[in-house]
Amino acid sequence: MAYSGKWRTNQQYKPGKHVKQADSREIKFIPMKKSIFAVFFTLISLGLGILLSGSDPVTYGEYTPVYMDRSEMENAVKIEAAQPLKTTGKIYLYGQYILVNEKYRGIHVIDNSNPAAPVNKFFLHIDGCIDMAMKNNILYADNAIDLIALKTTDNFASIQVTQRIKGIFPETESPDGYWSKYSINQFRPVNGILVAWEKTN
Amino acid sequence: MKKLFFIFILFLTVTISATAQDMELFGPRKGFGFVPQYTISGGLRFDIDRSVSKKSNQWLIFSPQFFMVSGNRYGHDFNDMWGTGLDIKHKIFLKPGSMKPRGYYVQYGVLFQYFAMTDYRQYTDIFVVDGVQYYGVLSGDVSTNLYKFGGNFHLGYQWLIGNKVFFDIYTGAGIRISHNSRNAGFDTWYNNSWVDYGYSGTLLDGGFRVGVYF
Repeated sequence: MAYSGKWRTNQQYKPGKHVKQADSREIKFIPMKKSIFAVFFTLISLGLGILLSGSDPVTYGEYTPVYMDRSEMENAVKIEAAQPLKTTGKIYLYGQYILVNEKYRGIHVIDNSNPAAPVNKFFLHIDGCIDMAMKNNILYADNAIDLIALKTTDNFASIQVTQRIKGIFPETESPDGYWSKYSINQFRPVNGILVAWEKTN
Repeated sequence: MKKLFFIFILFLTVTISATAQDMELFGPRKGFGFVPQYTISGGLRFDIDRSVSKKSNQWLIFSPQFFMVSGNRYGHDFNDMWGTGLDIKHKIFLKPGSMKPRGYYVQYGVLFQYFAMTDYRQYTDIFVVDGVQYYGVLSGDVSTNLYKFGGNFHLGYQWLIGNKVFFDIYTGAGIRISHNSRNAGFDTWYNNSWVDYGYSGTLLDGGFRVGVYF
């Protein structure tokens, strides 16, 4: 053993022997390495504390999630008066009508019987909608994580949800990829369904 | 579980049964320690050690702690945050025949921490559009109180330097249960990781401390 400390008695240290003497006199030994070790670790951890106190500032993504209660989401499917097109998505042609998706909010119904002057007729409010298809007057659309079938009249004057397959789609990811599943769930209200991503200022 | 309990009782009995005649004696019965790594969380923890038996090498350690942070820490942007807590442990040195607080030991204990914080952060709130109710995520200053309970079991090793100064390292497992005044049940916002202020769950714990006996 190569201790660098100093013995306080004149007795020699014998490796492997007990440090306690037969006459109960105790050898006092100050192991310098251990003292230095203790001081070193104390200083290192204090330094770490000071360094970490100035960690990176908190940043947020460009989009935030919007949630709805399931019952609210299901009951909110309805026809509304025509609305201006803002953040549009897919376009679908059905007979004389052009269906234009308003991202996460629903579907614009545009009467294109006169292509020179199309008329914005209705807005189908379907939260979480980003896609649609139509056949035999049945409009198929995603209502967030559900697939719904809507029976319409020829002129879209009325709609009726005839079928709903729950939870068939995954929730959409944040457009900027900022939000993890963990973060989405961290803000999710009880029984909340993610229906949209809203751009923050 | 029963087996563990009996082993623990047996261990205590063996530890306590050593008589004073066999003992390597140690004069000081009090100690004062400092746990440097708490500064990483913006805290200070001081340990008050007290020998609880003249016949066995057992100590009670009371660890009051104080926290104060402004700025960024663990992904939170604190306007201000302060906290306090108390950790109480029973420490039993394993070397038979010695009252000197050195060598291998086991310790277990409980802790409580309270934090009051205001930080700029995101939170969920209700908004209504055309009679339809949504939940959006907004940003702003939010005040929260956190209550954290927990327990630890550690194995450690302590060096005694010149019968006065001690240097102590330990590791083990623990559990934390945090409650947030804003959310019902377990906390989520301050539960980003096991080091976070509102962590709930089990964890591997460890650390070191330095101090003196007197």
